[in-house]
Amino acid sequence: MHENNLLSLIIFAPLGGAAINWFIGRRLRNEKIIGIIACSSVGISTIIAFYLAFNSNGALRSTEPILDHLWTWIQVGRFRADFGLALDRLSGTYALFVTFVGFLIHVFAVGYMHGDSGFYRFFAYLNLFMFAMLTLILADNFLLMFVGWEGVGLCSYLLIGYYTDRKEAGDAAKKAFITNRVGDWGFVLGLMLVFFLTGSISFFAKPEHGVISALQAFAGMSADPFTWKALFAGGATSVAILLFIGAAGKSAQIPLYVWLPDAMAGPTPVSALIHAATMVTAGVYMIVRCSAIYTHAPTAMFTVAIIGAATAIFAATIGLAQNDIKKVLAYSTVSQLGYMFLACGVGAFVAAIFHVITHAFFKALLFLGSGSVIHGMHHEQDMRRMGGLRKYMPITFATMLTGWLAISGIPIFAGFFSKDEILWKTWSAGEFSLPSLIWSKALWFVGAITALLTAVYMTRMMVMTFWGSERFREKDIDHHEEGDAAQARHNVHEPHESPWVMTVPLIVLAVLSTVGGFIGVPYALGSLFSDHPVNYIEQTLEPVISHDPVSVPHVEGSHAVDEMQWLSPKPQQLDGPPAVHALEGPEAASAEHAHSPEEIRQERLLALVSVLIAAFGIGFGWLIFQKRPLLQMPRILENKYYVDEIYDATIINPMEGLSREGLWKLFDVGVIDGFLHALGDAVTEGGRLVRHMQGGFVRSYAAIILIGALVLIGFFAYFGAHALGLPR
Amino acid sequence: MGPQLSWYLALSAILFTIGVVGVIIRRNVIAMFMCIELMLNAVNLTFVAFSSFFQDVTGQLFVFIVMTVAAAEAAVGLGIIIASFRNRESLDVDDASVMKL
Repeated sequence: MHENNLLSLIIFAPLGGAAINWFIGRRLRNEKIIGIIACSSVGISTIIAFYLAFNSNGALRSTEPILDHLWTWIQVGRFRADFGLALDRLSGTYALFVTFVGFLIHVFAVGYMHGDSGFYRFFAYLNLFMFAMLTLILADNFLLMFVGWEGVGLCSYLLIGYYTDRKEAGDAAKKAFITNRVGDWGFVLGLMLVFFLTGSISFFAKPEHGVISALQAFAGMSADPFTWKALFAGGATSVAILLFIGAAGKSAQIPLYVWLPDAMAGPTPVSALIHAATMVTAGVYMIVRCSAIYTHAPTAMFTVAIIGAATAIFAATIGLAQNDIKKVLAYSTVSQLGYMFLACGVGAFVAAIFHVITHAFFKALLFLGSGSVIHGMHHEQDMRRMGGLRKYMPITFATMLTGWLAISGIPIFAGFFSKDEILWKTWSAGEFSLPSLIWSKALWFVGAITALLTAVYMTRMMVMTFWGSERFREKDIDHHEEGDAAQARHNVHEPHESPWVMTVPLIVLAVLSTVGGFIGVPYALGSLFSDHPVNYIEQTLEPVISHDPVSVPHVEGSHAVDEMQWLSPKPQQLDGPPAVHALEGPEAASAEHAHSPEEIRQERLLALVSVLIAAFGIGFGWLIFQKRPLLQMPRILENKYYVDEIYDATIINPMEGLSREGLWKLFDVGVIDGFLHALGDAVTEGGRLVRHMQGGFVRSYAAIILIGALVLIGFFAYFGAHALGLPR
Repeated sequence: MGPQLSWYLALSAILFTIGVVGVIIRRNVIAMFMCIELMLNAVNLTFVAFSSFFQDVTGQLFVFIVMTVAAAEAAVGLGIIIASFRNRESLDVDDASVMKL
């Protein structure tokens, strides 16, 4: 454990950029300077993050986290919250892709937002978001993480509602903010329960400050039993489920996912940065960070897995039928987030983080690509008015092609490895967090169907956008429901390729979407091509996550034998034969055990199955949509299963009714206003009564003085001076 | 039987009451002013009477203070009355029932 004050610069550089742009950006009136300030402040963070992660003593090589204790924020009794940052293997991995992808998106946004009147404001918000996101990631305790958590929520609100002249943007911003409040309620309660149970809210032990690690305290407890009662028992399971409510809000899981598709009302770089690559994966980060809690809460893990799988397939079916290019990607994001939670739920935390990273690459790419398309089409988002764009936007087309193949799960591309890893880990999940092993197969099946749907709807999107007839010249589209004059006028423009500030980030992300998966090639596939395959992501992250007591950690390489017990304590034994601990045996034997030939054969078979699924999905989508790109999709899917309408009818309208009729008309107008009006009326009436005393006639004043004097004198004449009870 | 204290007090009370009644019923500001002076002098009379009765000079000293204040008050009061008369052409206090002119 060592201190390094450079760490604070990672978060404060974007804050400085935000402050500069916010205070003097309006006066600069120069997009170049504003853009350079914004990009370079994130660039500084990126460089420092890479330096701290990869230098000789870097976070990704060392077994100890790099800490930066800035100041003690709150200390009341036993409660202590530091403003302290920590870069360990998990937060290091996260910080790397967040800063790097964030930097690329900042550069892209300079091109995309060109000519916008709120240019400086946009970049101030965007930098502020980077500050909040990096605070969330690097926080060394729950409370500071919550500060970042709220900070990203605020920036998300500001950026969704960035186009202040559009009502739907403001509505979407409010929806996102309020939905997230529901999740935050769970987070805060979970945080309190963590403190109640362990007496600490820190992720790391800091002996020199007398701080113990809450996560280690959980790791030292025995695991909760797998019962539904455990949810309300106030133990690890309750903590885990409350934290998951927070994660479901932030990461758009059922039932709190409804805000994310609407959030597409914001500018496209915002959708790419906040609503695809970084902020929405904060829930996954938090759950992986708390893996020590989840591995002691099997019921909570099962819930996470079920919700994740349900969200994945639910959102994928909706994505099939959307016509707005950004809505397709939004539902795709919700679906992929479901995959990540499925991975967390079956204990495959490393696979979840791996998918977060590859998803950040290819989804940021797809969003930026869609931004480039929208930019080139002069702010047309309806895919029914696109088609044949590959001739006009060759670079955007080529880069989005890699994103499409990556998300569909075609081998070599990044998405294949992470998605396949999740499916395999689901298939082979142990009994710890599932009622029976049938469930692992069922969850795998849901995941596989989702993969098929993903390939189909992504193919539909690509075909509708880049192939087929050029529909943007047509004045009127039959299916177009809300054709207004402004949109119709846009049709006369020819689409054009975007400037280099937008295409260069696309190209970089396309390269990463292609090769990014090689950091996590599983042993079963890597061993086909090499004798000693290295799974870098697993090697890096395995030491910092906890394992459930039943399954055996599959750790490759020799690093795992190091004394890395500071966050990953030895598994607790529940019952049955003792689980063979991979760390205990001789290295060779453990490697043999971790990869039995039987498992390797199964894993390769499943990989083949998922490749076939992806290929079939693409082929199926190609055949159908190539011929009929405007094919009418089922109404129920196009209308998103009417979930928004159901929420309106069951929650929002009753609440509005209660607020309007009960709280406003009855309580506010009746009770509060009534009381105040009564008070005011009483004073008025009293004044009306006594105002005749102040007639302005000198003689009446004199008479009043006389009467007063007579009363006083009469009082004392009648009662005597004793009446006052004064001492003599 | 020489003059008693009670005679002086009775005279003083009568003078004071005439002053009070005059202030209340008269509308002429000069008359009201004179009535106020009458009340002051009624009080002065009690002071002197008590001073003589108790063989204490303090009461007579007080009378000088009251007369000084009354003189000053007369000067200021008459000044106000003249200013008011110039503006309103009237000495009736009921005409001066509002603060503004």
